[in-house]
Amino acid sequence: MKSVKLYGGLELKTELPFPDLPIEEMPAPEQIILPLSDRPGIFCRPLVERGETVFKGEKIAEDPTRKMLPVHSSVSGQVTDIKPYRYAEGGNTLSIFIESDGQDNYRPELEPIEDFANAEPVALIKAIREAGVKIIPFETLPEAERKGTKVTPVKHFVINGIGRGFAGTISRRLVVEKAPELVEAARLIQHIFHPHKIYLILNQEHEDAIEAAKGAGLDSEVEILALDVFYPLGHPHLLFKTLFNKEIPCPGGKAIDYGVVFSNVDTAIHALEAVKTGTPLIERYVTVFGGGITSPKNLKVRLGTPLNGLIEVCGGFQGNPGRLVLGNPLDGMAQFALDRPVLKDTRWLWVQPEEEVVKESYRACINCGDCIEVCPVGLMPNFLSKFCEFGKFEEAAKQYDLFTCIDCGLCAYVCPARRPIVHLINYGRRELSLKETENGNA
Amino acid sequence: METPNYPFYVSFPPHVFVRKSISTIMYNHLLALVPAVAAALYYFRIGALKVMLLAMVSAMVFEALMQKFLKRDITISDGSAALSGLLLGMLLPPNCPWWVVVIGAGSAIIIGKQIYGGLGNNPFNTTLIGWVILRLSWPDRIASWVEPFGGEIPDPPLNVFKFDGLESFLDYDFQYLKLFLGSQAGGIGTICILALLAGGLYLIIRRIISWHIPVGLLGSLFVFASILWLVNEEAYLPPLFHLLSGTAVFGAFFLATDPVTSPLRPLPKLIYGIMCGILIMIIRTWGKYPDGTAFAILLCNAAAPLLNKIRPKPYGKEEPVA
Repeated sequence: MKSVKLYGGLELKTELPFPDLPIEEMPAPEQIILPLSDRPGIFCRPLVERGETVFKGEKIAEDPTRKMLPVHSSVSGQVTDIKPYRYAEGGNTLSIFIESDGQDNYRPELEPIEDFANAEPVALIKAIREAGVKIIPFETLPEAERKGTKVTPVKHFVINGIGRGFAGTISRRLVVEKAPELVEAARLIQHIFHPHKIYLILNQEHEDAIEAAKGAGLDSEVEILALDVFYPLGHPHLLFKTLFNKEIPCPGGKAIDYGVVFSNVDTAIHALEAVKTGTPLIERYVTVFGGGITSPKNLKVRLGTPLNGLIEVCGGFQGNPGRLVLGNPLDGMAQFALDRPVLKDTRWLWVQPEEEVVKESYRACINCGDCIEVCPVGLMPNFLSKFCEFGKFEEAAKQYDLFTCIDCGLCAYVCPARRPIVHLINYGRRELSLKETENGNA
Repeated sequence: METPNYPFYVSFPPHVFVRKSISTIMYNHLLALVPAVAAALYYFRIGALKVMLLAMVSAMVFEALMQKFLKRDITISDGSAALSGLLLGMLLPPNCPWWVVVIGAGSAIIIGKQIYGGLGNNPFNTTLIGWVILRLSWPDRIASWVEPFGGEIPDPPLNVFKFDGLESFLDYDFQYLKLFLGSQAGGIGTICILALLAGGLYLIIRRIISWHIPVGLLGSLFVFASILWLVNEEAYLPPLFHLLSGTAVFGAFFLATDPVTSPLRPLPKLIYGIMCGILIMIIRTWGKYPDGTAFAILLCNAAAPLLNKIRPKPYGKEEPVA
């Protein structure tokens, strides 16, 4: 199926070799770090104290306002510390440090619901949320969980199997290996939300994934869409356009306003596991790859595992590592510490060798127009970067739609002057939001 | 925790880049000019070499001096000053005095580029600013044409037509093939249309420039000239002649496509090219100058910011989903 290409996007098929290997389970790490916040302003309250012994799977933190999902320990052992840890994305965040005792004493806290077809959707939603799986949008929660707002019915449920649309993703591997689970996950989603349709988005070039999905009988449960994928098609805004030929109003619009929920293959599998076995979300599927790693692998990793654990399992660094990136090379965040843990949104660890790090400084824009050509949402990144560079944030927002940007990174990727366009755009948005809070407080 | 802690590079995404950079753009332009330079050396011998080399070197020296004086990073290694200088040299006649070349290169770099803040900030084409300053200051010095090696006529065909009239023009009997191969008086690098086409096609195939500006410029020039010619064959030149003589082809591939001073997107680029072509024909037909390419492109440079107002529609704007 042809995907709707608004303006830009690039086909980045051969850029990066991607490990097409079976998923390996990684042994439990010696120490884990679990942050108590995943967004600014929203925090969990720790339920354990320093020195306390915890079981694997024990709930160690929860948010009384129920905005953030609970946190579970992924190993059994002792809480060594509760102190701020510095993350590259969000700065200092209060985190729980747990030292493993190597026993993996598992204590299920949740009741498994084997026969979910006969269970109440409300109970299933509660089970999934208690397990810390983020698949249920706030807007669709039953009345009791929210305050006063109307329940949005889910019309379409989209399971994304292409990631952001990069060459390969861990989702592809999961579809190949866990197609039968996906069938059940689709049934679970159907039972909870009663959407008109569930879609599974696959890359038309990933024939192994399409075959596995069809072989498991997924096409009777969901509509499998094999798309002609470009980067960053996996972004909800662009998928929405491709699937429904409509655009989400920007800035500020959300897919859920139209009854569309976007989720991922791994999240769907976690939700199923949470319901069927009562396992909370303590393990994640992560791909480790890149030129700086000896043997790239697909791994099943405990949450909170430090990155150097992953690198050791993959044979260590090859040569001198230059950058550690969580995410894909175009929009992932570079990390500065090897003890940084794997979090609930970690899917990729990409290691760039030092010799591939571009150390040029940037120049003035030469107006080549390449960034406009690739921008998938029809912006003019050259003007945005110029306005933000010289502090004209309001002009950038008003005239050049600063807030429509989806951070795909393509503009800076193609820029011959090596301008940090995405960085300047983010800088502009941050300054504007700071100004807004200041005005609000005054 | 046995892995040694490396110092990692921390930077904002993206972490990979395309190979194309400012220097590869400039060096590809220089490479594309090689056939035209070779033709210039063939037709004008040592005179061409002197002018082009002097223009190139003095442009680079002026750029370095200016950047040093203004306390900027010295970036002559990116090839942009060399390109501006070479393009200027190619527009000049082979017997141009050395001081004219140096002043031209200096004014191109200083007035055309550095006082605005360097590459990327200049509103007008660097090379053409230098050329126009020379053209207005020492018109006879830079219009002292000589016939090329193997040619007979010491004046550019368009000058013959403009100043001597159609009749003496017809006496000379210009042949299309000779013009195409470059046997005509004119700027040293601009006469061999074959070499310029080869270089221009290379740039388009390598995606250094897009086809919109050259096609728009040459297409509109040809169409406009055809209309005039069809209206009155007695008073106007045949359309093909307009393409093969003067600096139109050189301008279409190497001057009008300068990214800094041309519009950003395909449609505006096409409009810009068409505007250039029409202006060239207007100046050639009704203007004072026999060949208006330089002035036409400079005027259109001024229109580029306006053409940049033709914008793509951002995602999800002003079109609420029903």
